[in-house]
Amino acid sequence: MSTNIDFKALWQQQDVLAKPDIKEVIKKSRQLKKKTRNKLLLTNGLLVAVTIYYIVFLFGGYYSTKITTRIGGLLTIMGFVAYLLVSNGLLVDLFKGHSEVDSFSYLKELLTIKKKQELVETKVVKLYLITLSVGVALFMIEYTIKMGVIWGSVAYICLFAYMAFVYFYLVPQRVRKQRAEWTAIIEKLQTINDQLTQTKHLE
Amino acid sequence: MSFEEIYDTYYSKIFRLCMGYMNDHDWAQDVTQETFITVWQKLSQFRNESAIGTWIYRIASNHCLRQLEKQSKMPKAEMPVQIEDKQPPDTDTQVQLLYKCIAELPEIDRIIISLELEDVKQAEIANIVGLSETNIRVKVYRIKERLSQKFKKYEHQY
Repeated sequence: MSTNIDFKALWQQQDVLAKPDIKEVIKKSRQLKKKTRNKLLLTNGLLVAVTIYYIVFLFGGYYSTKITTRIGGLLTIMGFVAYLLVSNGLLVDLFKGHSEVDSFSYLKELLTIKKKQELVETKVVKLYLITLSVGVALFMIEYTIKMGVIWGSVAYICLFAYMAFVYFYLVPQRVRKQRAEWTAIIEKLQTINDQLTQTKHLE
Repeated sequence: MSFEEIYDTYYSKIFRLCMGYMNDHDWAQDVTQETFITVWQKLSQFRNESAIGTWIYRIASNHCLRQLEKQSKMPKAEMPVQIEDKQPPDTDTQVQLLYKCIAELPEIDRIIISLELEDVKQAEIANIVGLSETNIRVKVYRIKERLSQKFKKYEHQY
């Protein structure tokens, strides 16, 4: 039978699942979009509110007297803001994704985004943690002095132990897991991209 | 063309394209829906620089390509595409076999052959994928050859 298979005829015979009511689909998509946007706004709003409160608290001149407290607070805020900027920028890239361009351009765009995501997930998170640890350590000086040597030391030991746990255990574990995922995705994207570039060379 | 008209005209075509790429009914339906949601969201930005069909197929193809994120979490290699348990009539088996063979091709080839079988002009396929028309012609010829070999091989097995 198969000397001359009519693929087109077979192709058309594929059962198509019942068309869902598109209005329902759009409604759900709208709800989901709204939910995602609200969540994003809430997270960003909260972080901005905390930052503003922090700035007022630090520079309002009511509570802090030491320069270390101010530098510590400033470092924490800077880490915070930098992380927010980078991750929000990335989200904008993701949302903007130009799905109506040709596959060749789309794959290139996707590859760039994925590489950026990998960078954020690994390097930026680490940088954020470092500024946060140094910031908090400096910030605490003023208050631990008031606590006395023993309790002050206990507070610092706890802080460093927790930071070390996060930096040397939690983060590397997360990064390892995610890196494996990213690498798989990037490799796969690269393979598909190669399918196109190899053909492009012949043009 | 209103969105409803587009939806009615292109739903089956896009579903088959997704089926060719994924060979999984539920998954194909999800991606078809995602495609139409994007079409709905971006329809006002469509500027007639290309035919509406080309534009929709581009969105669908790119949505298919994006599925590799889900694929990497659930590697296809470990879940062989199988013909359903129940024994379907003969033509159904052949249809399923065709889709199975297509789903085993490299990603870009899957898109090209699906569009070709959907009767999309080769110049348009070139526009969708981002390759030249000559290249598409050569590719279509080779993919069809490969597909015939695969098809015959599987047909002997079943």
